[in-house]
Amino acid sequence: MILQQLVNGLIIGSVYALIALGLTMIYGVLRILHVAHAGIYALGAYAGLVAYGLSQSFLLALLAAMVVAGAAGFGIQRYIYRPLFGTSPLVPLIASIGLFIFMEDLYRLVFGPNIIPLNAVWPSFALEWRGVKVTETQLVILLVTGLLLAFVWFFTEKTRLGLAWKAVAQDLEIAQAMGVNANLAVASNVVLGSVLAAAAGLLVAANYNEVYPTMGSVPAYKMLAIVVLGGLGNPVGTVLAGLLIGLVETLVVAYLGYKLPRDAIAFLALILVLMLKPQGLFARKGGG
Amino acid sequence: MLLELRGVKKHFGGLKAVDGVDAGLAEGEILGLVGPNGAGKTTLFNTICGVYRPTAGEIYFAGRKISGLPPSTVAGLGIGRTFQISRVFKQMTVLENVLVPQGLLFYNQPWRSLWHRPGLAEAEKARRLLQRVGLAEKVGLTAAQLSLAEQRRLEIARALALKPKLLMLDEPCAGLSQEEIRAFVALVKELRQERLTMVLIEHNMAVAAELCDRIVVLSYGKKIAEGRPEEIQRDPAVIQAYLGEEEVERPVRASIR
Amino acid sequence: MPERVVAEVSLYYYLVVGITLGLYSLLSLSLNIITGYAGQPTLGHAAFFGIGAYTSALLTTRAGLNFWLALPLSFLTAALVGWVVGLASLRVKEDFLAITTMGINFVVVSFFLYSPYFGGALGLGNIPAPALFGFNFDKTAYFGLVAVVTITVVLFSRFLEKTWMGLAFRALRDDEEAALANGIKVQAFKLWAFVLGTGLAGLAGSLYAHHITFISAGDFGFPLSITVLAMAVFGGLGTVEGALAGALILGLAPEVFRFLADYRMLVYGGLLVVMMLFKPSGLLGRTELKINLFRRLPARRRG
Repeated sequence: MILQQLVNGLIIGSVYALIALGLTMIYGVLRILHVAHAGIYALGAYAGLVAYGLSQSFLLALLAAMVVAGAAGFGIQRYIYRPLFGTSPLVPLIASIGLFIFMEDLYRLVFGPNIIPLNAVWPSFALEWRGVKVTETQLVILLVTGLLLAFVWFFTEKTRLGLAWKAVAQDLEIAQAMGVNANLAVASNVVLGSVLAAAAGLLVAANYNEVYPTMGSVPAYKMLAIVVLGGLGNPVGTVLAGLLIGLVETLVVAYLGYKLPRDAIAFLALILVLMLKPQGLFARKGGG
Repeated sequence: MLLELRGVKKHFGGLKAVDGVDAGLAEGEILGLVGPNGAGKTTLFNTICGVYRPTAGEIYFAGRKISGLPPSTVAGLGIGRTFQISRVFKQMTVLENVLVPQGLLFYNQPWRSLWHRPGLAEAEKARRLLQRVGLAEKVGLTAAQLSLAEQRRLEIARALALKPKLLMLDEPCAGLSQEEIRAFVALVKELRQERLTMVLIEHNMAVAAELCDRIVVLSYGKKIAEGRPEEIQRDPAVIQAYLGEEEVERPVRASIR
Repeated sequence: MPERVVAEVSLYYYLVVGITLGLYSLLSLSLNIITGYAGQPTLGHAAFFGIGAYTSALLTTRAGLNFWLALPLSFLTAALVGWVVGLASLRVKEDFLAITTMGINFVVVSFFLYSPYFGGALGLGNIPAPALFGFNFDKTAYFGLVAVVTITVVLFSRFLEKTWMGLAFRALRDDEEAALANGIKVQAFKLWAFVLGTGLAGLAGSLYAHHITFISAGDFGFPLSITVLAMAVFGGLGTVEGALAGALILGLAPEVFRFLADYRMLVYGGLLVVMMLFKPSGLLGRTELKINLFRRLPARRRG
């Protein structure tokens, strides 16, 4: 049933959008391919797991995940990325990959290698309309994702800090010369990006009812493809690319079966698009 | 005419950076390209060198149409250039910097460049050129270790190693001290005696007047005056274009640096 | 256990470690041509290693070709694919190129995994060890072979550094626009770097296939690409010594860290971070230079 597939695809895509948005924001300001973003994503799931176990409240778990991830994001930019400013782009990339390996292994050592179920319980309010079913979890995902995306939009467009991000993304030195507090801009940007990843991690954990150490492995790289499709550093393009890839993946799997590996679709799309439009699907006009 | 521009235009979207410039340059002549900031000097310069394809118009060099050719081909035809912001090969030694353009023959046939290497003759030539621009003692340093003035001299040596028929210098004096500018003027005069044809973008009117046979003044992408330096310095249109800029633009530029 | 057997087991172990280090060195040296000399980031090197391995495996098991023919053919196949891929992907630069090459790695691996001709998820087995004039290569001889190939590639890299091509690579790495103004056809030379590097990775792949005798798509995944890139960066990009040092040190790390058992990956990841923080130019890199030269504040989108 196509409508059901579209709904499923959009929901997966909205999670992709959430993770990739954080990544693209961070890229915009730091110009770093932040692979360890997926480590933050998994951290969100683990923090949420622990908090949910303690409180039995999903809302509290979500908040805890966001706070822990925000703190981790702050630490990463302060102690790893900021000292690496001005080095070859490969240096922070390798550092980020090293950090990601470190994080994944840390989760394995602390929480064990196995899948842990989250067992989140919701008030039952599943929707069904003409055979199209949206589960409680999916509704929560849509709700949280929508709220967060709106929040990021508001923050970027309507606050001084959002303006500072744009200035720093344009040119760090000039922004500083104009009196922008670049450290604050970078820090707040990475913190907010990490918060988004953590929320996505917990939502995915709730959706599949599983948390495991390597849950970030596939997103780590697939999100980079989405970010490039969206035009590297372009938030709106990234959200659209995330939704699009979620949709395409779901439809391909539903109608072509597993002839094409799901996780290669984003990369295939990426390569095709770059051949035709080297600046990405949603590149900003005149940029680059 | 060694170089001829016919109605050259270069537009970026709505911005008409260069808007219909005609100019010619005879062999052995030194042409100055002056004008206030944003007049389109560097854009025109880059269009001649092949960095940009002109939106309209044609450029001829030694009788051959060069507009639309890639910069590597334009360089191969004998146009050497320097850059406004220093673009030496920073990780390479000073000597290697001047070796690079001498491989021109091989760069057209990459497979041959895999089996041939620079020899003593090339190194010797590089040393001679470096001596000429006053960098003889620095051959072994890495280009990044040079001062700004030295990097500019290195760029000139590098451009000369191409054996250019035309040498194009983009604001070679920007950021140099008075003494360094004097040394540069002496070098250009020496090259003039060898009848090397040059195009010089110069902000400093005094330097341009001292070195150039003829000056073209650009403003907002259009040629507003052309003639011998002493004529140009008296031209009311030029004075006006410059006055506006001296008072407003200069302090702003200084504050940005 | 009789002493002789123990001695043989340990000799065998050392030979296998030696071969592995040789293969890592080949990969790191070949990546160094693309990323070190020519400055083009690549996160998909393992794909070409895999293409070489599969080419050699298929040619020897299915087509009945001799190893000594399959070896150069794997170089050519990987180089050919590298040429096609480079033609398409070198239109993008820097981070775009890094992610595109990463995508290529994922696509190539799924191609191996999902096409039955390549053995699918089962992989390809019974890959013969090479033989020469009736002499079958045991591990000692094979180690010798890998060592000879590695030394040849070291010498080739050294030679390449001195040629006009090597000079053109370094020039375009330092400054593309200036390279163009000096008559270097930047795009063509980038492609050459890509072809040479991917071809040599294919050569290493062939040596891997006939060493391990059984290959499957998972051997050539993205993590290997990262490992190889990390080796070259760790040792110091752009130098032969750096590529070798990185391959030897990071290649030995899993063996040396064996006593850490469960904490191995944790230490490995941490080591990468610490190394990048305290010596970003790599062990044998020239610090004061590299930092200047790749200087890249988030400022490139001006004008």
